[in-house]
Amino acid sequence: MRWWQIKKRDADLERELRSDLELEEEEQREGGISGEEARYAALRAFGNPALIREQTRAVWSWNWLESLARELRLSLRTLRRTPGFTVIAILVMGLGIGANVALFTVVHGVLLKPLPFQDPDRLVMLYEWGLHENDAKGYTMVSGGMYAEWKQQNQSFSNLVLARGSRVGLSGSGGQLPEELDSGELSWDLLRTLGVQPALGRDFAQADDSPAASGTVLLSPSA
Amino acid sequence: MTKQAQQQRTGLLQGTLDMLVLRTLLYRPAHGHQIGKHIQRTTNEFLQMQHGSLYPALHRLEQRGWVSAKWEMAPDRNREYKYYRLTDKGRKQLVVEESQWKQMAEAVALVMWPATEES
Repeated sequence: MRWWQIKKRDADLERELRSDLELEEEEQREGGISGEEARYAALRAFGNPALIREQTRAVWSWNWLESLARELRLSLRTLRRTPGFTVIAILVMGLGIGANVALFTVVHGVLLKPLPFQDPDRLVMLYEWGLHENDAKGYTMVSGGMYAEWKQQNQSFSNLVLARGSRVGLSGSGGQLPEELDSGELSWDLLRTLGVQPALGRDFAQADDSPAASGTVLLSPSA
Repeated sequence: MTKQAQQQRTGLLQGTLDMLVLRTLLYRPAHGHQIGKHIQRTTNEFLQMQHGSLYPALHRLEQRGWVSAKWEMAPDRNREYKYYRLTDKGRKQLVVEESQWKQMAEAVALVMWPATEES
């Protein structure tokens, strides 16, 4: 039922109750009661119009939208009457929403957002899994020889590369204190496999990937 | 009216109010006030019409299609009232409720006033 129909129905009931109440009042007056007294007598005989209105309205089947609107109006009125509670409730909800947004931002960045590389859905990470010392199970580091073997027998992937994160100490010259840096050791073709290129200078070349070659580094702006 | 009497009367009215309203409308349309007054007068004031239950009942009957309502000018007063009128569906419903009520009354009577006392 549309809102204007509800309005019309409400007005209709209002009119019905009023006309019947007036009639009751007239009858009371004809019965010999005068003025204000007749009105009160009519109200007594008739009952509480507000209550009757409520009880009659309850007969009309409220659909969920109507009752929702009613509930909303009622809650707004209640909230306006208790500003202290309202402020606290809004603050608590605001904090809750804020915390959720912050958390989801992290989840989105870490788990949901695709990696900023070419074909991120085709990237996989391979591990070795096995026994450590004292029989603890876990991931183990892939040895160079194993990597060479995997690469040779590889049929499933377009390329295999090596990468290892590590922290290294960087000692300064002239009495400066050494610094610890986040770093990684990569096989030469890692960056081109990921489809990224250094902003400055050159990428590693196959010639760099040899014990005989001199050491080369790429610097990253963020640690 | 004592509270007990009041309870008796409302208890009696429950479920039968619909039937009484339908019966009142059988021969002529009437507005809410007339229906209440009619039931009250016909029962020698035994059934006090409580508007709190009369109007919900009227609107319920209208919703079920047993009565139809229309604003019409009252013949004796220069004002419009909402007149309720029995529909064909309401007429059938009245027959159903009447027979149910009869069965009920007869069943109660059989218990309360048996034709022959058991010896």
